[in-house]
Amino acid sequence: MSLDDGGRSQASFDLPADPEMWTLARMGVSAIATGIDFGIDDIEDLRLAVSELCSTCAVGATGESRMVLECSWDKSAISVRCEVNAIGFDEGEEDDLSRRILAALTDEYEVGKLTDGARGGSFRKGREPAGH
Amino acid sequence: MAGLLEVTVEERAGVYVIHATGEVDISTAAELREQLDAAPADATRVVADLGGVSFLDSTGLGVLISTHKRLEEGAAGGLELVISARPVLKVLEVTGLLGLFTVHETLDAALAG
Repeated sequence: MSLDDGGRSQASFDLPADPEMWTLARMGVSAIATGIDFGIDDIEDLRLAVSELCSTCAVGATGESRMVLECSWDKSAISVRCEVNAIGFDEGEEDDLSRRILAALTDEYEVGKLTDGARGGSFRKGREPAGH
Repeated sequence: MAGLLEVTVEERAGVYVIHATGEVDISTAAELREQLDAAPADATRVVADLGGVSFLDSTGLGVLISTHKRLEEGAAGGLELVISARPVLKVLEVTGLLGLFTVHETLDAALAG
């Protein structure tokens, strides 16, 4: 964990791009959100958004693929960036439900092919105002 | 990372009930699919009791949708759900699929229906 130039905290996770690892990704981001006092609804939204981001970025992942999840945050928002390498990308396999969920639960998101054999995406989620 | 989801099946009052407890995600959804696929085509009612499920992702939702579509053509007329956790209900809401299913708050309510 570290601070970037803008005073935001940062952490990264380097994991096998294996769906069984999504649980760890959810736990990591949940822990960060808990640490900056995000509400329970925001944390649940983040857990789901992280899973969908991981699943969407890992479309076409192989047994050799690694996933790097980079998180940065301040008191008002968390940003998560995901990159998966060593993939055999097939656009047709992507799940429209994942995109619908990401669109609904985050302030902004993007997912796509980065280079040949790599795929990535990111989202930003701000804290829900109190009382929501 | 086994053990995130436990799925059991029983028949109660003529209703085929699949109980799921834990997290339904891309790594566990196949366990749920296996039990839902085993629901007899001639069952008059099929209920997925997700009362013990704390997390549902798009893969799990996809399993519920495909089962519902299969059962729509049979006597059950579709898959009924029991959902008590707010995050699980929210997945259905934000994808616009809440209206697809008959949703009950408790298994008792489902069985009484």
